[in-house]
Amino acid sequence: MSASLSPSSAVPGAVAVPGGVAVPAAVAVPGAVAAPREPIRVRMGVVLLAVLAVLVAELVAGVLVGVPPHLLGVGMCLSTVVVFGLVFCFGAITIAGFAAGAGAAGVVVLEPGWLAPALLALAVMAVVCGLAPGWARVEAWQAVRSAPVGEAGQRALSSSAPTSLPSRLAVRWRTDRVVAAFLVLAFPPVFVTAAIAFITWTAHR
Amino acid sequence: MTTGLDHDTGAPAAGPTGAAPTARPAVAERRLGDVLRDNGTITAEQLDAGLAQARRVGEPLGSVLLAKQWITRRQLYVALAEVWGAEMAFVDPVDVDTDLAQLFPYPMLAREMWVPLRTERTDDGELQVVVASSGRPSADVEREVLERTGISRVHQQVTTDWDVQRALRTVWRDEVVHEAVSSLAERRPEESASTVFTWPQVLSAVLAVLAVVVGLVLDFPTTVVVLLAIINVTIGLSVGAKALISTVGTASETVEQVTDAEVAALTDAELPRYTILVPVYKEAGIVGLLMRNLSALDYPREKLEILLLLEEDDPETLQAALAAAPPDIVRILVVPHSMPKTKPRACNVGLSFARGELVVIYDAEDRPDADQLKKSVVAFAKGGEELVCVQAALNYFNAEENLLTRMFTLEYSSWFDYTLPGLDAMRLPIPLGGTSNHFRADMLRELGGWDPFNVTEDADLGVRASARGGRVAVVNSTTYEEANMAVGNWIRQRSRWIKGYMQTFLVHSRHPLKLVRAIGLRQTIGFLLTIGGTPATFLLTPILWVLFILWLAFPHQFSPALPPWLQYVSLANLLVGNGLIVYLSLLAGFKRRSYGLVAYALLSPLYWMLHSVASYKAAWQLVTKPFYWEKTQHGLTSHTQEDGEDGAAAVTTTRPAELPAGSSAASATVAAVASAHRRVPTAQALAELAAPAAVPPVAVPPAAGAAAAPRRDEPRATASVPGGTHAPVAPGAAPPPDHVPHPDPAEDLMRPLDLDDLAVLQAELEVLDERDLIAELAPGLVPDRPAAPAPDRARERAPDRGPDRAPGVPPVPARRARRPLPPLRPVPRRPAVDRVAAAAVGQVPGQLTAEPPTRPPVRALPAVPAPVDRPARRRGPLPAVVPTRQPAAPPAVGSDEARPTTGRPPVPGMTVVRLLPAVPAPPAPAPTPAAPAASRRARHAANAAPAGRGLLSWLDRGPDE
Repeated sequence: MSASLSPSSAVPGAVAVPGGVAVPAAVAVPGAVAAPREPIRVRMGVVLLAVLAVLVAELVAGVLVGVPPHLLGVGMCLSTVVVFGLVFCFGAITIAGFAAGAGAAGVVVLEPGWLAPALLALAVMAVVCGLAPGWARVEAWQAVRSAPVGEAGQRALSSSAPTSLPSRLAVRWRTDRVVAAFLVLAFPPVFVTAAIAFITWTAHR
Repeated sequence: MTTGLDHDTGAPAAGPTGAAPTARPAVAERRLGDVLRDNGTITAEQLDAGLAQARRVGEPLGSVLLAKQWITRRQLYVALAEVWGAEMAFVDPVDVDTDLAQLFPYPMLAREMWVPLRTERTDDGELQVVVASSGRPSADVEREVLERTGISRVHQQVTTDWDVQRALRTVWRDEVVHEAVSSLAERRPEESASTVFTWPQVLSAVLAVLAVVVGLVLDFPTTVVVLLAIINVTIGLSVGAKALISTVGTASETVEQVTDAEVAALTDAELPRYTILVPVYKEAGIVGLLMRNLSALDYPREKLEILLLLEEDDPETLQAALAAAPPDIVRILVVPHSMPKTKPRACNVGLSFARGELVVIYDAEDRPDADQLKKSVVAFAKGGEELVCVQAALNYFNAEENLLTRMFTLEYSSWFDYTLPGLDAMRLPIPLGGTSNHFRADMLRELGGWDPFNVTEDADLGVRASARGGRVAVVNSTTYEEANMAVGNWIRQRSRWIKGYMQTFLVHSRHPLKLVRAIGLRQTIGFLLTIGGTPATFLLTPILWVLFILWLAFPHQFSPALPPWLQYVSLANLLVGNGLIVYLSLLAGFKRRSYGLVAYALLSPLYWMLHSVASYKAAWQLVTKPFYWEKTQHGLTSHTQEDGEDGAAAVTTTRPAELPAGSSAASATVAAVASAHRRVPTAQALAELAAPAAVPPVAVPPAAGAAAAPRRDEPRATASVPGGTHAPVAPGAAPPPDHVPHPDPAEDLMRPLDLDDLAVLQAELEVLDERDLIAELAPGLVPDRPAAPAPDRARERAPDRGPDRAPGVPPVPARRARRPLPPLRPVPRRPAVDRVAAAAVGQVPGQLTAEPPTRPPVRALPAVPAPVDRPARRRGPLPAVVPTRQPAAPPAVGSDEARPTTGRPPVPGMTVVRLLPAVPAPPAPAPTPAAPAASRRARHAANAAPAGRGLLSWLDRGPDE
């Protein structure tokens, strides 16, 4: 302990890496060549305002054009899914996935038959999450700041910058992230559909 | 910990209270560095490096040299004594005159870091008081002594800060324990959980039960509908509040409370001193791991103090701590035995000796992020004056161990990553988590510390801080803990937490209107729905599940009994509630990038049913054993075991620099300690002062002083009164009922101790002394006992220390309370020079005398000044507390230092601080007015009730009762 509780404030037992971030020795692996970049900082307030603006515009336009309210609702939910889904995939912000999933739930509430297409679309989003660079950056950034570093963090740190696109995608790809993202996105529509089906069944038994 | 040292001399600046020093030498003082270099303790290069580091971190030279382990603490203070032109004394607690000690309140001494040692008569016939201080000789000390004793002549010696603290813990043991246990309950009883239910609460509960019974009798269906509606509303509001709070808390994902740039901008010089409290009980296996985990902290060690809080009845952990051989910044503090033996009690003791401006608690297995302390510093700087505490997030490092750890991790991720940030963002009261609470030490003391009667003292403290106008915030740093991996262990832990929430709710809802006025309506509602709503939800959810299953199984019989709206509301409550729980866990796992755990969030409803099981256990214990601390067993995980081995191997220490043989400073000091003045018992001295004409100035028989002082056999009771004073009660008058209940003594799965057990245990612990404990743990480290111990003591101990006891089995002291007590006899005092001189020639100090190294008997004492009615709060510069190793010279018998010997790994720098036992009182002593501590101890033992001080405690009694 005395050896590593250094008098200075340098991270004890740390390995200095370019970029100024000290990587704990337990994290630093031979392949570590560069500090992870800062994660993308998407301002959720801005995103919310943008979504609200889109929804209001959609609503006004729909009313003016005379679109049926049912269809208008579906459209607004789809817009929510798309915008928040993009933020979720490329901005690497978890709560955006919640909003996208809620939008999908709205879609299947209005159009119960659309569950399968909705799930398909959400699966595509999850696959994009598995390849999106934002998530890899967040994981690598988080890995150097917290004690238990999983396999992902080590891999993120040890990965040297691949040149070709397939190798870059291979480095970023994480199946567990894809599955988890799909659960985050798909849980609201599936749960709502199941709840409606259950209540319907109990009412008619 | 390294406070108040003069930058020129490395010494405590301007005396303990910051006043102008006295007795300054006519010649200019030498500088500390010069003294140390000249006597060969350090080299010129080390001095240069130390001065450079001192300038960089803004700490005195002495602190830096200690932190670098270039000198020992005693070497430092020997040099300081030379700088100040004062005598050096190594204070042994047995040398402190207890009569004199009782005249001085321990909080004041702890704050100012000095202790009165004895009274003596000088060659010119005048009385003088000898004090030992870790600071520069000060006029304030003289004034204080004059005020309290009437003796104007004061001889100030220099001693180490650790010696002062050890003497305080030993001589003022009862005060230390009393302060830790009863401080809050006495000073602010309305904020203490020592009273479980107030009469209005009991009355309300009785009325509610009566109303339900009457309703069921008069109109069963309507009453059931009303009850179900109430249940639904309660669950709905609670779940809804949590959903709202957590949704707000999701914003924390994109908001960093403290950025890396802010941390990087910190300079070492501006960092405050930090104290880390680590309460450990029966966790011997992970002490080594603790050393490694804390070693990763990024903080200047000159400003770091780690207090390892061990319990007196836990020799295994003490042994492990000794084996880990931590460096000087780790101080082992053995907390005196008392009830309740809870974590908050240990923390309160630690707090009273903490020297840091900021204080944090970690558990033994914790792995905090390296920059957590610095982030907390920034958070405090940004948080304003009202910020009391910063809570770091908790998570688990062994999440993948089994299903339970996975579920636990998901729950923690949701709570600390979403719910607490949500509470922070909405400025609602935050129930603190178990560890990683960073406090401003002075504000924490003002709050009264932790409530030892509350089994979730942390949650209670967070709410109490809010109720007093303080604020609790969260910081974006994580501490990784060990997740509970066994269901039984989990239920025990969770039942304690839920019971603590119930206690906290009951405490802070005693005066609802007052609470609203204190924290506001919105915050009160938030408190009701989070602290009160959590256990309520756990308790009520099974009812909804039962209803749901009945409704599914018997739709045609069940439906007509309940109105459709209630059926749908109940169903919606179940669906929405469980859906929210699942989804929050899902999101939290994803946010933590614990992708492998996300799928397990779907099992959350089953996991939350376990909470309901624990909540019913908690509710039962709240009534039957409200203060029972369900101990959670740590160190079960394979992660910990593996790392523990590593950690133990990783711990390295450097042998302290040996005191140079024949050092001029050392030899001069030893010579200086020899005092030619004749010691005078304090009682005699005080009597002499009170009637100078009647008492001859010299050659006073000892009996005269004893007669002048109040006799210990004079019956006089003391009573604790709110405000922290101990008002004398007239002899014969019935003492007022102790309003501080004594909690359940059981700390483990053993049967609860009964009254006799407690009394015996108390007596046994007093018999055990430091030397015996160390000898039991590590026989090779301690020389043999004195050749001729007192016969009564030898008789008492013989059965405990026979060779037939299995190795490794902790000693079982004799049941001393049932034997004739030894006669009360004064312990002849040895001048300190004996011990030091013996050490200098390598003689075993304990062999100098046949007296057992025990605390002197408690004799008749003068009137004790009333304790301060507020927690000790630091004023002025912090006293000097510097980490160091102990010197190579063997310490005195009865001191608390582990000694490296051949055949065993040396333990350099280890200091085991353990309170010396008090000499047992004579049989059935009546409380005397001059011995409030003894009175308190007797009252404590007499009131120590078996498990179950709650409403249903009569169930535990036998038929005879």
